[in-house]
Amino acid sequence: MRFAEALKILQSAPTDGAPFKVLLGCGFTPIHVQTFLGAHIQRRVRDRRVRVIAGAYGDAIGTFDRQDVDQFAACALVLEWADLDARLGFRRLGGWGPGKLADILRGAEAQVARLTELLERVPTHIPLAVSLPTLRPAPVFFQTGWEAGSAEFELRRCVVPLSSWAVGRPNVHIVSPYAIDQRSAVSARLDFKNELVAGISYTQSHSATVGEALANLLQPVSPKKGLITDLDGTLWRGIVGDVGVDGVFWDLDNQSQLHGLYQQLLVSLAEEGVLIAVASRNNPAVVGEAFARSDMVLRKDLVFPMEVHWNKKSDSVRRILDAWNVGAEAVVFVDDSPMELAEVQTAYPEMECLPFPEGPGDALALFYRLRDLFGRDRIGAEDALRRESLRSAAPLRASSNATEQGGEANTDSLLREAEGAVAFDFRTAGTTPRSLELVNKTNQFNLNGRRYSDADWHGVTSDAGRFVVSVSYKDKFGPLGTIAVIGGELAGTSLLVDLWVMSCRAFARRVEHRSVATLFERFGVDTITFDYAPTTRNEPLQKFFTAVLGTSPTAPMSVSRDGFFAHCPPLYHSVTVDE
Amino acid sequence: MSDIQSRLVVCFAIAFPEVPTSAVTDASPETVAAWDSIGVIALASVIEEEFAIAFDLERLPDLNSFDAMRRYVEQQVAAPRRGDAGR
Repeated sequence: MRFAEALKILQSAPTDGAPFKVLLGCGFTPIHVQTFLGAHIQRRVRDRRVRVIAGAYGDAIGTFDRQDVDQFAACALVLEWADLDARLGFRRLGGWGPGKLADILRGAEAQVARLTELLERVPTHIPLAVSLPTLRPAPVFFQTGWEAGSAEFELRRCVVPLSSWAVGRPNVHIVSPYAIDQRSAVSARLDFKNELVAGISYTQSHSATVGEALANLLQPVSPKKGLITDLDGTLWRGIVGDVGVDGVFWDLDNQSQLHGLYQQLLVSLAEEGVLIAVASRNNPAVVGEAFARSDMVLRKDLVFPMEVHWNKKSDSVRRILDAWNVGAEAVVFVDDSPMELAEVQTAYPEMECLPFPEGPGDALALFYRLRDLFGRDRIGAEDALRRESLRSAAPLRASSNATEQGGEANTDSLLREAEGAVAFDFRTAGTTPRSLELVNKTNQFNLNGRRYSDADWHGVTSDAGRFVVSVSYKDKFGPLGTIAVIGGELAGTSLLVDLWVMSCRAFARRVEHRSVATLFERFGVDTITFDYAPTTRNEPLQKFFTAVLGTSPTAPMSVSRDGFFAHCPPLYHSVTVDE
Repeated sequence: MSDIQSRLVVCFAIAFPEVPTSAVTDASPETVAAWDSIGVIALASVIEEEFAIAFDLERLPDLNSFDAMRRYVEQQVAAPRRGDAGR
C-alpha cells in the first residue's frame, strides 16, 4: 500500500460512522505507521471511522500509563530498542562504552517489566498487538558486527518475558518476526537521515509492513473455510490415468516431495477444521485405488466430497460448494492447469484460485500463502466437528432440496429419526470466544450482517438489559457444537432481536424454527421484532422469514406468536435451556 | 499548468483534503491549518511517492508555500539521482 493510498482510505471513512479508536504506543514520530495501521483497519471496518491516536513522542511504554485504554477499540505497540534504553538508539548521547553495557541491560530489563505491568491493565476484551524491536540496535557492543556477543544475547533475552506473558492472553498478539523479515529487508528498515532530522525511525516501506502486520493481528481477515484440490500434477506427480496407480509419486525418492509436503499441509488444515474436497477430471475407480495406497499422506476420510468424473471443473466446484453450504469467497481452489484455474475463476470470480507451481520456490510460497489464508487465532471444538457434520447432513440437505423442488418429502421422517437435541445457553454465551467468532464469520443465516469488534462485543454482552444466547445441536450422527447465537432485549411485551446468526452446518434441521419457538416460550411475549436488514449474502435467512411470514421480509419486521406457530413445521428436537 | 504543478496539486489535495483544489496553489502554513510539523511530513511523503524522489526533510522549514514546494520538486526531478546512504 502506498502512503497516498493509505491517506485516501482514511479520508474515505463515512463521516457519520461510529468511531473506531486505536491507541498506538510508538516512541518515534509515528505518522507513517499510524497512517498505514489506520488504513488497513479502515478497510476491514468500512462502516466505522478509524482514528489511530498515538501516545507521546519518545515514550512508547508510557502511552499505556497515561491513556485510558478502556476508551479504545484496540491497542498497538511498536517497540524498539531505544524505548528500552535511549542509548540503544541514535537521538541521545548517553554513551556506548563497555562500562555502560551492564547499565543498559539492567535498564532494558526494568523497562520490559514496567511495560508488562502496564499492558496487564489492557482489558481482555480489547485486542492488543505488539511489534517487538525490528531495528538493529545502535553499535553499543564491542564485538565485530559478525559476532553476536553475550551482551547482545542478554539484550534479546530482555524481551522474552514480554512474549511469555503474551502467550497466556487471548487478546494479546505478537507480530511474527518472520513475517517482517520476509517483507522488509533489515537494511531497508531504518531511515537514519530522517531519524536524525525528524525522529522518523522507519522508512516508509518498513512503516507500511509494520502497520499492516499490526492491523492483521487487530482485525484479522476471516479465514477461508474450504480448499478444493486437483489431483494429477497437484496432489501427486504424474497423471494417474496414464501411468497407473503405482506411477504417481509424492516423495523425495521420486523427485516429487513438493506434492508430499502439499498433502501433509492439507492433512494439517483438515485437522484444524478446514474442509478439503477433491475436484478432478479422472476415472473414479483409479482415483479410489490411488487413495487406497498405504503411503498416501492425505487419507480419504479427510476429504469430503470427492468429485471425480469427466465433467467440467466448475460443475464439480458447484457441487462441492453445495455440499459444504459455503460461499465461493470462503474457498480456495488449487490446480496445476492454467486452463482449469481460468475456467473455475470465471465461474467463481470471488474464489481464490491458486496455481500449484512446478518449482520449489513457488511451492514454498504457496504453502505459506495457504497458512495465511486459513490461519486462525484458536482451534475450537466446533472446528473438529465440521467435516463430519457436513457429511452427516448431506442426506438431510438432499431431502430438503427435494422437498423444495416438489419431490418426495421424507424430511420429516429423517428429522424424526435423527434424535436431534437443541441446547440454549443464556448463562455463558456472552463470554465464550466461539460466540463472537460465529457472529463475525456467518454470512448466509445472518439477521443483518452486523459485525462486532471485541470491544463492541464486550459492550453488548455486559449490558444487563440485554440477553445473548448460544445454541448447540447434536443428533445421532454426532454433535455440531455451538451453531447459533441470538441477542436482543425485552421491551415491554415485545422482544427485540437485533443479532441472530446460525452456521450453515445447521441448515435443514429446523434449528431456526426451534430457536424462535424457544424465544416465544422463554420470554412469554406475543411478538418478536427482528432488526432485519437484507444483505447480498443472507438469502437463506430471507427464505426462512418468507416461509414464516408468508411474504418477503421487510426491515424491521415483527413476527406474532400465532402467526409463527401457524407456519411452523413439526419440530422433533429435545430441548434444554441453561439459564 | 505544468505536469509537475498539476501532479503537485493532486499531492496537496491528498495530504490536505480540506483545501479546495482551486486554493491549493495559494496554500501555505498560514492558510492551511493542517500544514503543521506532522502534516508537512505527510505531504512530503506523498510527494516522494508521486515523483520518486527522496525528500530532504531538513529543507522543510524553507518550503513553506506551494510555489516553494514546486520549485524544490522541479530541482529534484531534474537532478541526477544520487545514492542516499541509510535510506
